[in-house]
Amino acid sequence: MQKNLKLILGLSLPIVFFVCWISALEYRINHAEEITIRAEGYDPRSLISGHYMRLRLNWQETDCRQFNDNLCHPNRFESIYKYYIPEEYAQTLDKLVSKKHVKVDLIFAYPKDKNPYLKRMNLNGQYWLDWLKAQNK
Amino acid sequence: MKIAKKLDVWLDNGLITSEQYKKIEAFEQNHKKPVIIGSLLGLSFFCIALGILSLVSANWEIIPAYIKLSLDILVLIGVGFGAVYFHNQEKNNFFEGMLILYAGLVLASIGLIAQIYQLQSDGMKAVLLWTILVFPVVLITRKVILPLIWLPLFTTSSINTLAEINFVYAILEMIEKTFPYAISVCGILLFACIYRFTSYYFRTRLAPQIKAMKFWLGFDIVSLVIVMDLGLGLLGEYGNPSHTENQASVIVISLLVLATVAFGYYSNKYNYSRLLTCALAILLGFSIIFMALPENKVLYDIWGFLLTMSILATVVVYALIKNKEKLLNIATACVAIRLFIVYIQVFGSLLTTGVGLIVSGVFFLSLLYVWKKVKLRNYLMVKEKK
Repeated sequence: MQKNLKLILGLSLPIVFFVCWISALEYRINHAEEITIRAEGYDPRSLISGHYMRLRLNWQETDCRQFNDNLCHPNRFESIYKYYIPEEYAQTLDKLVSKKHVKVDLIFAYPKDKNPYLKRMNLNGQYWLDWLKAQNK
Repeated sequence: MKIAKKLDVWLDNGLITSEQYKKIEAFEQNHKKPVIIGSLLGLSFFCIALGILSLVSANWEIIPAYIKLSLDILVLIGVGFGAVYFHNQEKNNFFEGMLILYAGLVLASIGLIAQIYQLQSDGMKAVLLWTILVFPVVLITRKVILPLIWLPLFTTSSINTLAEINFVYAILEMIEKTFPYAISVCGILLFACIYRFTSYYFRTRLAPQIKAMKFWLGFDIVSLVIVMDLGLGLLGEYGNPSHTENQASVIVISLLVLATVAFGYYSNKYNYSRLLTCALAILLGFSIIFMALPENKVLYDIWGFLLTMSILATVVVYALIKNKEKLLNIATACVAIRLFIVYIQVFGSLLTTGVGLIVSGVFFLSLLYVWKKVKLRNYLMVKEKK
């Protein structure tokens, strides 16, 4: 055990870090209020995390009444967000979104003091996967 | 020269007996390292790690997020246990393979978490996080492959992240304005100091890591010389950007000169560091000379040529001192190629190129003659302190 102590410690560091990171993310996302922001975008690809849509927030079409003070706070958000989508749906989604006039909404977990976390994407008011399945029927 | 050939020469010259010949040959056969097996194993684990990364990227919707995350952590633990097991069994090739796989899995895990929680940070930050998390693994490994991958990734991603801090960015901008490629020269000097420090205190404990540092240090200098040589010729067409002299430039240059002298002073006893000091001094000296040059394309071309030739001459001397035949041949070939290029660059016509090349050839022949006569090599020899 003593012989392997350094090795075990070295190998445990990433595992311990990932467990803490995932727990912190879960806690923050699930204990924050949700807000919806209108967006528009297209689809490139990340080498590490796969396909994603790059979406620009559209504050003109966002309902600011969902914020506690009835004011939008664009400075607390990035101007562009990535939304990761599975490889199998990437092409279809890209085609459909660019062809049809689709309203894209991003739903954020909005903690009081931390940066907002992107939770999911809605297309025409539906979760994107449900919307896509409805289109393919 | 291979050992079999050497043995033949020794036997022919009566340095060893045929009995000793056989004994040495048998010993070498039994102690041969299975290079191919080790490399293949490393390559296999590297491929598997890349495959897992690609699978994670495919982002299967069918598997719920919590299962993906749990499986990921379990696989990490499993591979970690595998590494400990092979370490205890003293199966070094498998142990190293497991470490490569583990490092690849850590990167895949970062990608997976970013994917599931829709995290927005850029790729460079993910790479920086990876380099920090696998740092202990890089220290543990006894093979050079992981440090070789880790070093450039850590350097690039950390500089990229640090440059986002306003204070650091301001300093980098100030250095950049002093002379062309000032940041690269500073970076190489800093890297050389870290290399010297590490190799002085951890020479045996961190041998593969130091080997990787040595490789990247050499690679950085070669790349910078090529870029400066060819790049500044092009830069001449757009004007010399460093003709704005100010107090900051003087301070930065003075600090760099002092740092180079200090580096040379403290690493005087080591041949490779002497080579590094010379290379650094040449890079710095030529950069300062460049600032004084009037804007002229031909002058910039000659400047680039002299820079490369000075570096190559230093490498030739180093190769002679260390009896590195291959390095000597490569450096000499580079000298010949660069000589050929300069005549085309500067003169352009076949007549002047021909005359210039003949003169250069005669010059090298006379240099060789003087070399043989004076036995200059004896003056250059320095015993390297282990």
